Amino acid sequence: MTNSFVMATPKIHEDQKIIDGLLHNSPLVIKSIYDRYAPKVVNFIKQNSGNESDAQDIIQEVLIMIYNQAKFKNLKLTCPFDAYFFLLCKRKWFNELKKSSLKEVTISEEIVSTDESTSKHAFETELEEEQQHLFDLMFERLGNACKELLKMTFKISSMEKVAENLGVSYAYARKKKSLCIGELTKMIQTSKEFKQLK
Amino acid sequence: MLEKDVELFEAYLSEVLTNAEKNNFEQRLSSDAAFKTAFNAYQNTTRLLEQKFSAEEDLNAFKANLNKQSNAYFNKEVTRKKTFSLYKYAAVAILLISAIGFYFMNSSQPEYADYAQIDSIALTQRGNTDELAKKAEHAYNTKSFKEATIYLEKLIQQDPTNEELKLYNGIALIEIDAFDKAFENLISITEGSSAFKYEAQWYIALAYLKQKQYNHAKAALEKIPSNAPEYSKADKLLSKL
Repeated sequence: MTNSFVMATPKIHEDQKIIDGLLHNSPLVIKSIYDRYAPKVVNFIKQNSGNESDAQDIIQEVLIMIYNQAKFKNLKLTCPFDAYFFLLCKRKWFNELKKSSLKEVTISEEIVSTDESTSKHAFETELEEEQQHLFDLMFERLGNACKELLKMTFKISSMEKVAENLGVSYAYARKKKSLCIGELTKMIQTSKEFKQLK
Repeated sequence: MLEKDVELFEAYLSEVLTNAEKNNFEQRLSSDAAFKTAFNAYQNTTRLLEQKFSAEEDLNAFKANLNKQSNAYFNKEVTRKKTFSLYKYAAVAILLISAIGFYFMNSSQPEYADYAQIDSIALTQRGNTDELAKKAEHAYNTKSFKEATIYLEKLIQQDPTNEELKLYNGIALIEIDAFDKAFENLISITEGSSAFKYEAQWYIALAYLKQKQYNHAKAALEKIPSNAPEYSKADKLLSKL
């Protein structure tokens, strides 16, 4: 869960302020991301069998990935935002192309020298997204009773209140919760997608 | 994953174990690899559940905002392209007329009102139900700038490092011609390194423009570097001064 290899903490890039702005849902920061960084992505996608509306979707999805990475994985940028953002958009678009084998794909892959810290950030962000996606998928397959219980448990932070709402004892509610999480964990781990992760 | 194990995981995470039980648990984590792997997986699922449900509201607010900005950006592109061919000839005509006009009255200087584009603000996102933020947002968005500055000042007192609030306050203050106070707010932003740095610099220039201090406006515009998003409009205005 944590990256346990120890090394000197790399210097945080000044573009971290863009990440912080996203995290605070600042309209100005989001607008400036579009003004500054969207044109390059739009051009790239247009040159690679896509159109403007594809670019709009890809950018939106990537910004949500970055937001989640900042919020839940405490993302601290050690590379320029531009490089990180563009790499994510590019790889996401290539994955889209691979999925829709309908199109004859011509990929004009330029030789980009991506530095190590950019690739690392992008890799971790993608991994987190895949994990979340798999989790959402499995959660939907969970039985209704478990779904409801877990929803309630995590929306109301007090387990005592949950028990009260359900009219059961605290110990019983906690036991049920643990069984549901256990089942969900098992479903995730035995899925074929899980084996493809990483 | 064994039933009695998951119950133990949950008890450990809910901190209901006695000290002795807790020590036992931690010892087992370090000696039993399979137990540890199972616990890590359980903990990871718990984290993902927390993300999904506890932070749902924040994420939805973010998505709504993102959607708005995305549409604003891409629709602008589309409209620009569509209208271009239609109005090409009209544009040429207007260009001609204004060129002639410019020739006869080239003493006219650009005006503040032509450049100040005041967008709506959103202070009440992320499930924030703060009354003061709501009032500030409403006053600002309905262009009651005097009232807006009163609320914004109060919000800044509560959150003195919030550069975004200072920027909005600065803009509102320019609108009501309270230039000294506007500069106070805006300059402090330009001295920092927030994302609003050059947006603030742009409004400093506009404040000078509104007071018809063209040389000061020029000097302020020249401080906006070419890689800032405000550069192109700054550059355009500069060429007219």
